[in-house]
Amino acid sequence: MGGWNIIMIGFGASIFIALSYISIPKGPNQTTIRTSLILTIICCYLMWAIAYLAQLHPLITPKSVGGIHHEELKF
Amino acid sequence: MPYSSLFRSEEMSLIQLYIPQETAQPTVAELGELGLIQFRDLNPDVNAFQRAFVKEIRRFDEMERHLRFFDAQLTKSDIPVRPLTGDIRNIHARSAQEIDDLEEKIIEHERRITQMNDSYETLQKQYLKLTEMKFVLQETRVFFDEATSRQDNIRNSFDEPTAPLLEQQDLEHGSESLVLHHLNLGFVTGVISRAKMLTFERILWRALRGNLYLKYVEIDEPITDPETDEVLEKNVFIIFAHGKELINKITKISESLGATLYPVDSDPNVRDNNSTEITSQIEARNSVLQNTYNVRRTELLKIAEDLNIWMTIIKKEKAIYHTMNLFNYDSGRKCLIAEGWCPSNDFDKINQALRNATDQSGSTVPSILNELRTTKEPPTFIRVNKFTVGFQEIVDAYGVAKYREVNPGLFTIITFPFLFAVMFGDFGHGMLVTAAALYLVIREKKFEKGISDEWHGNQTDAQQIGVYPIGIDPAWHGSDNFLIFTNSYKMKMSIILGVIQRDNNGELVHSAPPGLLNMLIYMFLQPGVVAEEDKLYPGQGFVQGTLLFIALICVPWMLLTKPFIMRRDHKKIRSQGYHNPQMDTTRVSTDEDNEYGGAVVAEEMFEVEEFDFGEIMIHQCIHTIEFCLGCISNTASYLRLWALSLAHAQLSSVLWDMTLKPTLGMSGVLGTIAFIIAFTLWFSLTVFILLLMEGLSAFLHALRLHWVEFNNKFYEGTGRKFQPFSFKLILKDDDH
Repeated sequence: MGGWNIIMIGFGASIFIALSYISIPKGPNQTTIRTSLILTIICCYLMWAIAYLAQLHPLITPKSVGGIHHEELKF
Repeated sequence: MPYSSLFRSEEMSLIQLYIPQETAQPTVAELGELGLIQFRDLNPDVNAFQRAFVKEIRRFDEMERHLRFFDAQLTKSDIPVRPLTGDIRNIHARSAQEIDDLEEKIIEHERRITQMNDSYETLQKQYLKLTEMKFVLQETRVFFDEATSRQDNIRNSFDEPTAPLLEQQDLEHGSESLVLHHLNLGFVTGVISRAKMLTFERILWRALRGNLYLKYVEIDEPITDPETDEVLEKNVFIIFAHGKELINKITKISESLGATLYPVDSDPNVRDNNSTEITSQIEARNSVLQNTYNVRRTELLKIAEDLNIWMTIIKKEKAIYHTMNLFNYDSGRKCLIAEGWCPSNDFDKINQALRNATDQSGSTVPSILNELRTTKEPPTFIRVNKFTVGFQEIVDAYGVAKYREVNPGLFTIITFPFLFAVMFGDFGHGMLVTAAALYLVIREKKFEKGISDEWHGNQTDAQQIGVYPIGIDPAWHGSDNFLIFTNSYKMKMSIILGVIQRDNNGELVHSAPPGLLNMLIYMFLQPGVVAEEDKLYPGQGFVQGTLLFIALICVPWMLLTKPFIMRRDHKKIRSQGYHNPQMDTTRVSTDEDNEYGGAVVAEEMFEVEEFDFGEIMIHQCIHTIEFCLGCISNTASYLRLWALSLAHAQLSSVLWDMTLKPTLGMSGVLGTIAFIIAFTLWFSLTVFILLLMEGLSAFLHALRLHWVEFNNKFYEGTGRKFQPFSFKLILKDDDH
C-alpha cells in the first residue's frame, strides 16, 4: 500500500467535491445540500485517512499475553 | 431573484403600507395568513385602553368568554369537542356581516343553555324535596301504625311514666287526631343527616329535659341534599312532645342542626292522599328533568361541532385588531399606515396578498407597498424546513445570528452529527439509534402533535458517519496493548479534527501539529535546528523553523492589520462625505425618533464622525490575546472527542465481558438459562446506559464544542429573531 494512497484517495475525494458542487440543481435548498455533501465527503475522508495514517508506520504491533483469543472460542 | 440560503440570514427591507380603511380588516387578515411581515408599533406612547380598536377587541373578548363557557359545559357533560383537522385550520377570517351573525348565534346559544341550566337546577331541587317528603310519609306511617296497634296496652297503663304517650280510643274511625288534640300532643317530622343524629338526640334530651318521644329510621339510599348539593345518608325522624312551646323549641333546634322539616298531617287518610299526590308529582318532575337534559345535550352536541372553528375565527379576529392597533391612522386620507420588516425576496407575495384583499372587499382603491431606506438593524430571518429547523434551533439557543452574519447552522447539519459520532464511536449502537430515528421519521405524521421540533430534528439525524469505513485492523481486537494504540490514535485524531474545524472559518492561524513530545519542545527551544538522530523526515529542521516563523508573524498580523485598514477606509469616506452633501430622496419613516427630514443620511455621517482609532486598537488587542490563548485551550478541548469515545468503548467492552462473555463458555440447560438472563441484562443496560446516557453525553459535548470552540471564533449572535405576524404561529402558541 503505502503513503501514496492517502494522496490518491484525497484526490478522489476532491473530484467528488467538485462534482457535487456543480451538479446540484438550483433551488431553495441548493446551498444546504451542497454544503452537506461536501462536508460529508471531507469528514469521511478525514476519518479514513487518520486511521490509515495511524497504522502506516506502526511504532507497536498487537501482542497477546496468554489467554484464548475471542475469535478462537468454540461453542 | 436570488434564492435565500442557510448560509446567511435573508435580506430584509423596511416597508410601509398604505391601506384604505374599508379594506383594512381583509388586508390584515390576508397578511396574517401569509405570515411574512413583522409590524412595528407606530403608537408606542398610547396605552392599551386608548388604542383605536379597543371596542372591537372587547367585543371579541366577550365572545371568547361565551365560548369558554361552552367549553366548560361540554366538559361537564363529557361531550368531546370536534378537533380541528388540517384544512379547517385554514379558515379565513370573516367579513363584518359574518362576524355579526356569529355573535348573534353565540349569544342565542348562551341564553338557551343558561336558561336550561337554571330550570334544571330548580327542578332538581324540587325533585329532591319531594323525594325526602315521600320518605318521611313512608316511614312515619310505620310509627303511626305501630302506635295504634297497641291501643289495648295503652288504656291500662296511661298513668305510668314509662307508658307510651299515645292513646287510641277509636282506631277504625281514624280519630288519632282527636286523641292527639285532646292530649295536646304535637309532633315534628323531618329529615336529618345520619351523622348528626346522635348530637340531635342529645341536645333535644337536654333542652326538653326528657319530655319528648323521638323515633327515627334510616333511609336506605343516599340522598342529595337540595340545599348544599352534597350526597348524604339521611334519617327520617318523628318527635312527639307536649305543648306548643316545646314544639317550637324542637323546631328551632332541628333547624339549627340543618334538618329539613316536612309537615305531616295527623289524619291517615290525608297522609295517604298526600302520598299519592307526591308520587305523581315526582313522576312529572322526573320526566321534565329527563326532557330538559336531552334538549340541553342536543344543543351542546350542536355547539361541539363548531366550537373549535368559532374559537379559531375569534382568535384570528382578535389578532387582526391587535395588529391594527399598531398602525397609524391618517384621518385626512382615510387610510391606515403600517410599517414593518419583511424579507426582500417576498415583495411579490405580499403584493399579491394586498391585491387579493382589495378584490375580496370589492373596493377600487388599492393598497400601496413602499420600501423605506433605513440604517436600523433588521431582524434576522433564516428560512428553515422541518429538517434544518432542529439544527437552527440549537444554534439559536446559543444566540440568534446578527443580521446577515454567517450562520453556523449550515455547517452544524453535518459537523454536529459527525462530532457526536466520533464520541459515540460505535457502529452497533449507532445502528440501534438510527433504527429508532427511522421509526420516528416514518411515524412523523402521527407524532406531529406531540414531539417538539428540536427532539425530532435531532433524532432524524442520528445517522452515523463515524463508522469504521476501512477502519482499524481487526487484529487489534483482544490484544493487550490495544488501548495504547487507540489512545494515541484518538488523541491525534481529536487534535487534527479540532484544528481543521477551527481553521474552517478563515482565520489565518497555524498551530503546530502535535508530534512526539520532545520534538515539540525542542522545536520551540531550538528553532530551525534538529539533531540528526531525532530526524523524522528530511528537511525537518527547515520545515519546523518556517512554521514557527509563520506563527510568530501571525500575532502582529492579527493585531495590526484590521485597525489600520479600518482607519484607511474611514479617511476615504470622510473625504467623500464632504463632496456629496446631496441626499437621495428618501421616504422618511413615520417614526418619532427621526426628528429631521432626511435624517437618515445625517445619522450615517454622525457615526462616521465618532470613529476612534484608540478604541479600535484596544478591541483588536483584546481579540488577539483571546485568540492566541484560545488556540491552546480550545485545541486541548477537542481532546474530549478522545475521552468520550474511550469511555464508550471501554463501557461497551466491560459490559460484554461481565454479562454475556462468561455465559458463552457454559453448556447445557444451565448455560441456556444463564445466557437468557445475561442477554436481558446486557440489552437493557445497553439501551439505558450506552445508548441513552452516553448518547446524551455525546450530544452535550458535541453541542459544547460547537457553542464554545467553534462559535467564539467568529459568531456574534447578537441579533433578534424575525417574528412575523402570522396566524399559524399565533394558533400554535395558543395550543401549548
